[in-house]
Amino acid sequence: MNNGFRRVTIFAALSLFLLFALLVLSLFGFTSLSGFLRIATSERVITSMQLSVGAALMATGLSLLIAIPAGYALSRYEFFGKNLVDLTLEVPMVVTPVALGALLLIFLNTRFGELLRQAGFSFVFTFPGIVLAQFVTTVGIATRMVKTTFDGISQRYEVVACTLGATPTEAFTSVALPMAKQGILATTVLTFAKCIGEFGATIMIAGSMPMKTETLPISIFMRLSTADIQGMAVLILILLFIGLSALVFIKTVLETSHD
Amino acid sequence: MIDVRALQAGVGQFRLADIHLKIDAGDCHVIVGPTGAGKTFLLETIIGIREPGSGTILINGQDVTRLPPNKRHVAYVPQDTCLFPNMTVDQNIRYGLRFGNGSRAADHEFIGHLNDFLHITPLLERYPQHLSGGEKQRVALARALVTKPDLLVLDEPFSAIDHSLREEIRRTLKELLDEFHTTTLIVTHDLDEAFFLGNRLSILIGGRIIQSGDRTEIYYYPKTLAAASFLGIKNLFRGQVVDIRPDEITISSEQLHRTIAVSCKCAHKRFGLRQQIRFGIRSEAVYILRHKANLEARTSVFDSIVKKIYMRGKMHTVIVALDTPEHTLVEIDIHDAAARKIGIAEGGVLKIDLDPTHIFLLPEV
Repeated sequence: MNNGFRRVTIFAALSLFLLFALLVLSLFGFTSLSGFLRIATSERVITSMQLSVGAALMATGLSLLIAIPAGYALSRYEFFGKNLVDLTLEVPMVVTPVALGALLLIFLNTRFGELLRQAGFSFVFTFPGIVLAQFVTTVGIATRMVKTTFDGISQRYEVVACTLGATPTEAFTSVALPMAKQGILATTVLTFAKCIGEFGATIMIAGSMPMKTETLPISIFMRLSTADIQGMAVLILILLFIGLSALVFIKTVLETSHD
Repeated sequence: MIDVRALQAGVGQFRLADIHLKIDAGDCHVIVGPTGAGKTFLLETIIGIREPGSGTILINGQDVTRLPPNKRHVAYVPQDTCLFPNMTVDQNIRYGLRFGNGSRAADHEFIGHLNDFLHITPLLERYPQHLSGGEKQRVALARALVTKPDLLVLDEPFSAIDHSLREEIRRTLKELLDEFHTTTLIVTHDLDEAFFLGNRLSILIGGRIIQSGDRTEIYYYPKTLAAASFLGIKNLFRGQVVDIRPDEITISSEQLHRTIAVSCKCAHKRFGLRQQIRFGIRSEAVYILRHKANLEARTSVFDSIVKKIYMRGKMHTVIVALDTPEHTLVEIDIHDAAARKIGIAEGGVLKIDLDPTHIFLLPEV
């Protein structure tokens, strides 16, 4: 292999890391340890963290509740409208989260939204609104990931299980689902990480009410708008810590599963 | 007993057409055919994961054509065994006992006997990822037999196993089927495997069963050109029927410059006088004669010259040109030891006999 080519490709890989390392390191120029601890332990930031983590957990759970059966159906069955459903999964990727949030807002102002409100489901400027925004932006990608996981598992395992007496549901729960465990775990963590970082759709529906709907990303935006650079740097570090922890967790789990 | 009647099924452009198949209780039937013939498709229809367009599948007299796979009592071993990786060998083997197989399910004594027979007792606590190809195959067989199925279905059972282990596993399977008298259907493209395992065979080509019969019948007497080609028979000649008796037919072949009488049951029903036909013989049914052999009077004996010798380990393939005006080529398979003893060499002269008892007849297409 050409040595020059090797060096160029490795340089590209290292420069990628260098870029993000520099970006993160630049944050430390705007805060000290004492400043970090003071801001990170303030009631407003703790509430933001609680809101972010709580909403992300709920949205992740809801996403998986839909993504697992939907991903399985897309992977295993032929049905009317399958291609359309498949295409829909990418909508949150091609439509920006702000537009998606606006869509939700418009929908909630229709007659159907009115009916939901009358039934006691209130989303605008509320915690459920945060969950809804995060759910809508992640459910498609979670379904795509689950589908890819099941695509990687031969359907013959379930066929064998059925010939041994299992019903399709029993074959799914006793064979396919345990075999998809690693993929579903990775989907869970990545969905959670994406929920934690969700901004556009959340601010459109839930707004930016401190101590009520101000999640970590929204809090970062609010601090920037008031020129509180130190506060913003601390919040970014917290967000980075949560996101990176999730990614390291996935990597560890997946590597363990290959041993 | 398994009885498949007039089964038709299709997917995309492919069609299984008018499949008839009978497997007696305790028998092992092999469906053999080239890649793309529809073997796996037929098998999937029988186990119930594909719905046939028409026809019926009877298992021990019960019509299971529209039953789901879990209600058919048909155990399936796919070519890659599909052992459940999230379960130990023991859990894999006992998997079928979880689901209402009731009185059919094997007892502990039976499972123990099966495990011992297949030499998997020491492997029970291991996970499939830590088994060799042969071990996986044995575990998959045990898992299938534990439910005491009415039919055991094996799809290309040895394709994922190293060549060196195949013979051992083949023998194990043969002994297993003899021991447990399980009615078995195997699909494979491997002729050695098919003739080793099957009491009866069917040749499936292009979605149609073109011939069914016992091992010897299929091996020596293909009934169509397609079957003969699939079986790899190279010695095919043209001829014309010049005489027919109830159990004998006489063929005149310009290609061989001879007239040969061949035994043929119901010859008068299959062929007509002066009909153009093909006839052939397997390469191992062509005999090399010692010069003193007293068979020279036979019209099936020819002088020939050795054109080429292909060494294939324990067997050799010898190509000879007959001493006839057309110098027709004939292929002969001979054991290495016999070839050495006779001293066959390229350019040498051989006297050969196309043994008439092994000649098969085909209608000219």
